[in-house]
Order: sequence, then structure tokens, then C-alpha cells
Amino acid sequence: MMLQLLPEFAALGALLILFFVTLGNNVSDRAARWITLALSGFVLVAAIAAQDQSGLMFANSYKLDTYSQFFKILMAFGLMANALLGWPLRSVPTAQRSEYYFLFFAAGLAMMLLASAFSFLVLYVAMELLSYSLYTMVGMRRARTESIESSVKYIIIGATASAIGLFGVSYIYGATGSLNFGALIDSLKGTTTHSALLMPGLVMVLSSFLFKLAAFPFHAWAPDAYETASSPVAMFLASVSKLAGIAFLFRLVYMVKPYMPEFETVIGILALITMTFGNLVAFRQTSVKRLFAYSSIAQAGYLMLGMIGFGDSAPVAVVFYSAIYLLMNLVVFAVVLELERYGEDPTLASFQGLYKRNALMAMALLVALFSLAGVPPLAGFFGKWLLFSSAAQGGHIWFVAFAILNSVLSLYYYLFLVKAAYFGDVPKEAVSLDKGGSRIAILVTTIAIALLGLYPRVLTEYLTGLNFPRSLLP
Amino acid sequence: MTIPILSLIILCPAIGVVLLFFVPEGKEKIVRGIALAVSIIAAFLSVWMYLAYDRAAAGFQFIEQYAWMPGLNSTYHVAVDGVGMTLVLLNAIVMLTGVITSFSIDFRVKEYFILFLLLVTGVFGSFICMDFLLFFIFFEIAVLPMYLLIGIWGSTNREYAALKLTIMLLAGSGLVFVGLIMTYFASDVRTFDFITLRDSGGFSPSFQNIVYPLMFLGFGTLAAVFPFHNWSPDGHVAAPTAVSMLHAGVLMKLGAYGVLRYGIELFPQGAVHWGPVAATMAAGGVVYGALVAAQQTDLKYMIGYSSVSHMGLVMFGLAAGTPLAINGAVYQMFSHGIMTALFFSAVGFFYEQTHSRNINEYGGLARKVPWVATCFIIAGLAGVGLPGLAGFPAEFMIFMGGFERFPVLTLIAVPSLVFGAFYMLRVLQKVFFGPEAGFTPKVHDIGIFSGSARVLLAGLIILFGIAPRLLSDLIAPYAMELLK
Repeated sequence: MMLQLLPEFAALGALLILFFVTLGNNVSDRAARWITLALSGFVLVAAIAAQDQSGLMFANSYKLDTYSQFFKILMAFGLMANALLGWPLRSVPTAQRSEYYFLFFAAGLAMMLLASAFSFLVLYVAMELLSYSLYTMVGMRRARTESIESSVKYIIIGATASAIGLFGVSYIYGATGSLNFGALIDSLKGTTTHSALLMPGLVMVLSSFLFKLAAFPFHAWAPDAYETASSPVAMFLASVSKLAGIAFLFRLVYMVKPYMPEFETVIGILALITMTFGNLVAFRQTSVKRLFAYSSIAQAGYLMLGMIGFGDSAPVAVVFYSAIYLLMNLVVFAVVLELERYGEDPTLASFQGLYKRNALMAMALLVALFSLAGVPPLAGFFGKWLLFSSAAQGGHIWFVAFAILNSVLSLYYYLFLVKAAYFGDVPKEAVSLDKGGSRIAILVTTIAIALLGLYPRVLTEYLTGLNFPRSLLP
Repeated sequence: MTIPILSLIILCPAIGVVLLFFVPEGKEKIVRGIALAVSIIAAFLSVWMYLAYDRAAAGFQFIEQYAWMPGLNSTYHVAVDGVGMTLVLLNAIVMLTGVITSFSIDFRVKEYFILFLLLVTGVFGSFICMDFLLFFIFFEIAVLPMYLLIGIWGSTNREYAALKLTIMLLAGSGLVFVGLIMTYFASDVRTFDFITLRDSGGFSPSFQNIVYPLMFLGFGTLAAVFPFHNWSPDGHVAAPTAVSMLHAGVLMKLGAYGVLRYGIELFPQGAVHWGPVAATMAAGGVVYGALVAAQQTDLKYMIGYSSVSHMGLVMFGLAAGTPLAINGAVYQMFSHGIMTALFFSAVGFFYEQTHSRNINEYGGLARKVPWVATCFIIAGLAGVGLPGLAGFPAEFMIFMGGFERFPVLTLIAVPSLVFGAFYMLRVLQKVFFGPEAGFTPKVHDIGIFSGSARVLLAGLIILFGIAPRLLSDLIAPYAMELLK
């Protein structure tokens, strides 16, 4: 069992180590960061080591399969990247920085649990662990009262969403007599007429995930949280924490949709509303972090559309896009963080003349933005191709047409940033961005985005080899 | 082993891009030298290929195919037929003359040439890729650098024009993307390979009727088909000279090429079904472009709108679909490409010296700068279809072919040419002849190096006007083949 749950134990161990090491505040910020980096590397190694594990555990409520294990690798990679790039925690009071690293791993552990959850109970516990860690992380930026405000907003929306979800679970329990996913699917398989409780129950459970993904109509916390939280936290929210929601939601959708076509339509419509809303509202933003909050709302919409794709191709599409979504957001926020070293909360104006202040970062930003907009030949294009073609194959060509229109819309605000970074001159008061920073990490990630677009085979063939459809269906 | 000439042609500008990345900041001579060198090599290879193309055999030649995405049945498959050959040649010419014209760019030179060559790479790739997915990727590479090229180095209202252009073209490629997905899943063969799709795609007539409009509008936006043309005059005006040359000279042809290849060839029944609508839009563009061009006092706007009119002719020929009309349309793509490149390069020459493009601020330029004036006049006369210049055979074939299928529309479109001729002659008279006026005294004659680009273009206009067979030998077999 120890070996099977290696990544989870590694995350738990990391959490405990950090807890004891940082007890009493005698560890410097720098040391804590290095310890975190080392431990997250250890978690990544553990996740890779456990990639072939499979099986049902703990009374069929916890499932290891190629899908969950691959997501754990992605999450561990995301944690490590966050530990590497998401630094320094300038706006978090010194006394609390060690707690940040502790919460960092608590959230990491919860995400891994979510990837494997196979019962509504595990799901709920993991969800709450993740949410509470994130609430606290968002509220850590004491110097800005809005940070507390958005944390409270986050808690209220989050609590509402989990209450609704929990209520939905009670319906499902009433309909099937079990909290286990296997039992849910068995009861779906048996009959063509489902209990009247099932559909409302599922939709309510769905809503708690829409909250995690910041999908419409549970998106309202995201813009405030991204904007007012300390930037490394925003990076964490935008990149790795989304993976957990995606990982679990897709598992549920994938299992349920063959038996309940109407569930598919619900997700499809919500996906469209989510992406349209995210894209349209992003137009008007001047704060860059807020803009990316809306952009990531829209991105969640594309992913949801891929979730209702054709059975054999949807899993690879969703996982591939999740992976590159992670990369793109890491690059974008790494650039934001660099800019933030010389003044807080970047606006569109702070990107002015970036090409002259630091050509590498301007280029990384350009690549990441075009990739987010889904422009060939970058990875984002190929990811969208997989998502959309899978949805089209599943018979949703109209949804796809609408989603493509959305991608074009999104280019509009991504171009704002490109414009700021490349047109015009450097403002006089701007500081040089010549030294320090995570140049190499940014460069490597950017190259990965470009290469995955030109040669996506590297990843898609590996993912196809993992045979997700078989491991996802019970 | 045969020489992979098509790959070499794509690689020229692509290698240029990579090399330029490593040139240190401030070494502008090296940057320009590299750009010039790769474009000379690409032009040389294109001419060589033009000579080596087996006209008797026709069909696709210089074929290369390597695996790229086997899971999707997408390959790196390059080949040219008569149309591809013509357009590759056009692109090589415009690229070379564009690079020469761009020597006057004096800030952020390295980035400029990187983007310029990237754009050219995309255009070459689109013209020779016989794989729909890869074609689409190259197509986007050709469109996107435009945003930065116009936004950074442009003039009048550049940020607005750049944004409008990018969004409209991307919306167009969005339509193509939808069509691409539908084509892939509706075909019997599940491949992106163009030749396989065309020969054994098995698309039902009702499916063709749905997809063809996506292709026509999607690519048509890039070809500035009326009423989706309005990004183009703004874009031309704002863009720096060489980018206007590429844009009007080659990129708009890429749109027409897309309609021909991935619209008409893939979905012939859809094309016939929508023919009347397409022809009406195209004829609308011909008339509208000519009328609006006549109202302009800005030389670039005038050329921009006359481009809309000329591209309308190309689309009209394609919509008519008779062999003669298609032949004329492809011929027009080539001759209009060279002609507008020359136009924009001449206007750019004046603008750089006086910062004015207003017709009323010039007069009597012919005495001051006889070489450039002659080039401009040749382009202008070719534009109005004077026999003996490259525009004439093209327009003649389009109208002859078009009349067979759409007599009324043809009769509507023809008078606009007369109107255009009248106006063009007035502009030529005003700007080049008559008393010296306005900014004219400030204009100095052109240097030999930069003049060579204009003279080359003007020479080609005359050459392809006198000897249309140089091209129609390539195009005619294609057009005949298409009709089967």
C-alpha cells in the first residue's frame, strides 16, 4: 500500500516535514523555499515512480489507474514549477511565509486525492482540504484589505458550492443507496429510467466542481482572488489548482455521460456560457491578474467542451490540454511575477515596452498568449484541435463552431498585452528587468510550448498508450 | 537522389529567421545581408523550379512526403502543380523585392526582418503543403506576424488597423477551422492529405453545400471578398511599404488560393451550388472597389481599394468556374501580385521622402524621378488592363470565361474597369505630369540598389503581358483537369 500511494505519502510527508521544520519561525524564508523545492522534487519522483500503480482501495472508494497517476505526475510537476517560479512571497508577511509552504503541500495532497477519488465521501474530504488551503493562501496578503475581502468572498462562495454539492450527494445516495461511484454506475447501467433524484443530484454535485474550475455561474470568486492575492498564490490558483477540478470532473462526466445524454447537454451549454462570459468580460480589464482570471475562466470552458467529446478521443484531449494549460499559465504568471518585483499588481501599462526591457520575457509572453488563444503552430492550437475535434466527433459541431468563435474573441484581449509589450516605448519610470529571475525556467517552458505544437506526437502518443478510456470506465 | 527543392525553398526564409535570432543587437548590416541572401537563394530556387517543372506531364511534381502525425493521418506532404508553381514564383519575387525595399527600415531592424521572413515562410508553406492540417498551420504563420509588422512599423492609425486586420482574418480562419474539423470527420478516409481527400473523400452533395460556404467566407476574408474586405484598405495604408507589398501582393492571393484548393477542388458540387452567390459577392467587390478607389486622395487608399476590386475579379473568375475563367483568375493572382507590389513600393518611395501620400500634394513628378514614375505608370496601366501588360490577359480570360456562366454579372463588372481606367489616368496625369507642385521639389531620385526592385517588377509586368504563355502553359492544364 505504501508503494501504491507513494505520491500521496510523499506529499503528506512533505507537509509534515515543513510543519516541523518551520515550527517556531527559526527558518529563513530562503531556506523554507529551498526545502519546498527539494520536497516537491521528491513528490515528483514519487509520482513518476508510482505511475504504473492501479487498483481500487479502501472499500472501493479510492481508485488508482493510468489516468489518476498521470494527473498526479502533472500535479507534482505543477507544484515543483510553482515552488521554482512562484517566489519570492514579497507581499506575504514574513511571519506567515512558512505557513504558506505548509498550505502549499496540503493543497497538493488534496489535489492528488481528488484525482483518485472514487466515492463521494473521499471527494468531499479532498475538496474541503483543497478549498481550505486555498482560502487561507488567498487571504495571506495582509497589507491589502481587499485580499481579506476576496478570501471571505471565496469562502462564502466555496461554502455555498460545497453545501449544494453535499446536498446533491444526499440525493444520489437516496437514489442509489451508496456513496460509491461504482454503485452509481451500476444503477445507471441497469435501467433506462433513472430515479428522479439522480439528475438533480448530479447537477448539484457538478456545481461544486464548477466552483473549483471557476466556471459559470460559480466564477465570481476568481477575479478578486487572483487580483488581490499575492502573485505566487494567483499563479498557484491559475495553474496547478485547476488541474484537480478538471481531473475529478472529467472522471465523473466520462463515467456518467454514456447513460445520461442530457447531462452532456448541460455541461456543453455551461461550457459555452463559461467561455463566452470569460472572454467578453476579459475585454474590459486593465489589471493583468484580473485579465488572466477571466482568461482562465474561458479556458475552463474549452476544457469542459472537450469533456463531452467522443468517448475514445476525449480523455487524451482533456489531459493533453490540461498539461499545456499548466505550461501556458506558468509562463504567463512567471512574467507577471518578474514585473512585480519592481512594483505591485501589474496593469496593462506595466507591460509597456517589455520587448526592450527584456526581450526573452516579451517573447515568452508572446508565445504563451498566442498559444492560449489557440494559434498555430503552438501547443495551444493543437490542444484545442484535440478538444474541439473530439467534441465534433461526439456530435456537438455547433458547440464547436461557437467555441472557435470564442477563441477568435479571446485573441482580442491577448493582443492588448502583445500590443503593450511590443508596440510603443518604454515608460521613463520603468525599471530595467535585466538581472535575476527565472530566465532558464521560462525559456524551457516556452520552448516546450512551441515544440509541443510542432511535434505534439511526443505527448499524444504517450497518452494514447496509457489507454485512458479503459482505465476510466469501471 | 533528387534534390528536395520545395523543402529547400521553405527552409530559406526559415533558416533566415533562426540565423537572425543570433545576430547581436545593432549589427544591422548583417541582418539585412542575411535577409537579402536568403531571399536571393529562394528566388533562385523558385526560378529553377519554374524552369524544371515538366509542363507536358502537368499535375503535382517535386513531391516529398514524410510522417508527421501518423495518429491523425497527417503528413508533411509538399508538392506543386501549375497553380502552386505560379504562386511560389510570385512569392519569391515579392519577397526579394520586399526585402530590398525594406532596407529603408531604420529601427528594430532585426525584429522586423525576423517577422518578415517568418511571414514569408508561412506563405511558401501554405502554397506547397498538400496536407490540410499543415496548410492551416502555415496559413496562420503567414497571417499573424502581420499584427506586429503593422503595429510596430506602420503609419496612419496603425494600432487600429493591425487589430482590425488580425481579428477579421482570425475570424475567417475560425470558419476554416470549423470546416477543417467537419471535413476530417465527414470524409470516408480520415486523413488530412489533400490529394486523397480530393480523390476519394466521398463528400455528399448536401455536406458540400454546408462546408463550401465556410471555406469560401473563411479564405475569402483574406482575399478581401466584398463585403468582408474592409480590413484590407486600412491594413494596406497602415502597413510599412514592404509589408503592404507582401500583403496585397501575396497574402490576399493566399486567400484566393485557399478558396480554389480547399473550396472548389475539394467540394466541387458545393462550389457550383453556391456559384451565383459567390459570383455576386465578387462582382459587388469589383464595382464597389473601383467606385471607392475613385474617391480617394490618399494614394495608398486608392491602391488598397483598387486591390479589392482586382481581387474581386479573381474571386469572380473562381466563382464562374469555367476553365478559361479559372485560368484567368490564377493569372490575375500573379499579375495583380506583381502590380500591387510595384505600386506600393513606388508609393512608399515617395512617402519616405515627403511623409505625404496625398494626390493633391504632388504634381510633375515624372521629370523629377523618371524611373520611379515610369514604374508607377506601368503598374497603373497594367491595373486598368492595357493590352501588352500583365493585367490584360488575366482580365480578358476572366471576362470571357465569366460571360459563359454569368453574363449579366459580367456586364455589370466590365464598366467598372472603364471607370477605373478613367480615374487612374487622371491620377497619373495629376501626380506625374503637369506643373511641379506641392511636395514634388523635395523628392530625390532613387538609388540603383533600391531602384532595381522596382525595375524588376516593372519588367516582369511587361514580360508576362507580352508572353502570357509563360504562365498559362502552367495554369491551363490545371484548369482543364479541375473541370473533370
